[in-house]
Amino acid sequence: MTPSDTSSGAPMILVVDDFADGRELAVDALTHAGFRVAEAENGIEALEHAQRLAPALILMDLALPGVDGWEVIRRLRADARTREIPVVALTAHALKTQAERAREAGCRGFLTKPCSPRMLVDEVRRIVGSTAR
Amino acid sequence: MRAAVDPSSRPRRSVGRAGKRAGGSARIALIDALSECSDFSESAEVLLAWIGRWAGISRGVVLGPRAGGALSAVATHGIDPADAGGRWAEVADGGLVAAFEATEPGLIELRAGTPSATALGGGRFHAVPLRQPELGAAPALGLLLVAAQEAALPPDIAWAARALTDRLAALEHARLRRAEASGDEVSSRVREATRELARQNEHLRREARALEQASAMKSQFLVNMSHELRTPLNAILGYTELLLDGVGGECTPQQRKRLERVESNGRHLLAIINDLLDIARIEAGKMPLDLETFKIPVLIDEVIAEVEPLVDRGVITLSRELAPDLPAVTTDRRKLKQIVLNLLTNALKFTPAGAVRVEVGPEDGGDRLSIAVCDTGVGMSAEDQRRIFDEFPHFEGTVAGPWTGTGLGLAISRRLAGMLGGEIALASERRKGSTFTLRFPKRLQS
Repeated sequence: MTPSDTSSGAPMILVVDDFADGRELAVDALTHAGFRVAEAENGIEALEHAQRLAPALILMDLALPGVDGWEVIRRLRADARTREIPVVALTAHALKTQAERAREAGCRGFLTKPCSPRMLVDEVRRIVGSTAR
Repeated sequence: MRAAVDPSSRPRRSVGRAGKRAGGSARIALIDALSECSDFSESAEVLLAWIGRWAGISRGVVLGPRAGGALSAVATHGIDPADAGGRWAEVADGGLVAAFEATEPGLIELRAGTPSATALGGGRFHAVPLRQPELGAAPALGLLLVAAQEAALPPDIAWAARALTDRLAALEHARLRRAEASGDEVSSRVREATRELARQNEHLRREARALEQASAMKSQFLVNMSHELRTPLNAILGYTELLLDGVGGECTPQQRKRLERVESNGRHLLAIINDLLDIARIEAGKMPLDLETFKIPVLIDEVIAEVEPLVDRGVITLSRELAPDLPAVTTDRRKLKQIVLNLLTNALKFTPAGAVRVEVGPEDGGDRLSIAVCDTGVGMSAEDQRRIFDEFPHFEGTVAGPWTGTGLGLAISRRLAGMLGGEIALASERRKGSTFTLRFPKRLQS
């Protein structure tokens, strides 16, 4: 069960969350599931990583300080280099309107906190279509 | 004050020299003297003294009205005051009362034997009602009686009676003004009290607003707090799950058992936090209604499917009984489902063995529906039934098993039922079972 961050063939997931423990939980779960993982703790960092690393998927907490998740999604969509990267939104608000809004903004998936690592990995696998492990 | 009548001692109050006819200065002297009088009797005395001096009247009396229609002597002239005091206290002889009520002066003859005739010594009298002609039928202020020397009323007496009347009217006005002033005092006190009341009302309004705000803040605090509690709890549950999944290497059976305890307690804590959040949201008015039209049987099936895996079919019969042709309902589906799920979970939790049945039927001619969850479980005493909808009620007879509750389920269900325009009724008997019945309108207006 060695984290497979060295296996260059595995898809890379960018995890964006300002809450370190929550972010590392996702990182651990995804790493354990065989993905390569990059982290960003704010919106600007997320945009930089997205452009530079071209991840297979971005897992994004919508409630970020400063440039929030919605704005990051808008900028990703406006940039040809990042337009096609699927985004899974992560939010603490279990409101139907939030899920709809996320879908309208172009998110491919929507997860509500608290979200178990298993559910998170399942959702990422569903979109990336990887069985990396 | 009686001394004031004496012209020698108080020149200003003098009513002038003796004489047969009162000239201008004598009349001015009467006006002056009257203007210094402060009440009826003083004025009447001044008048009688003036008449005695200027009209040469030997006997006279001024009568004032008394309660009950009687008249009483206010001042006398040429009559022994002691004598008059005793006998004139009150007279209501017909002749005098009629003269008092008359509009014009007249000549009267006091009937012999009456107290007034005895006191005045008999004979004819000029009776002059002290009345203001401009006030028409208003009652006279008094009655002037003077011994008549001739049939015609002497002009000086007529004039003096008028002067006295004016003075009495002025005094009356002054009294009314004073009364008004004290009336003003009363009304100003009333105004002050009204203002005070308004101030207190405003104070209470402000306090009510402050309480409302405090309550809203409390609810907002709970919402925020629940959110803050969930974030770290999410990490605790997440890492526990990762460890159980073998992220840090395969767990020993001992470690696994302990981690599972962390997980189940964490999940229970999460359920409580979620319920608290629900209550806080409802109370803060932050749980909006989300209306949709749907079929009840589908919802019932969903709820049953959710609890099914936890039902031990060997000892529990779980069934549903739906009335035919149930109409589609328009209400908040999620809230309705939450209530039914809660009632059903509760029934299963308190039924160690037996039957649990969900019954759906129309109510009130079809405008409302009832969803009843009946069980043959442990039931409740009347005392417990009163507390069952409270937050965190504790009862005996909780069945060990897969059913965990937060102690907030029924409290939430009751609030949710209220939001749907409905209510939850309970019928229960110890060791026989319980029936919780939700009744709600078929069509909820937003």
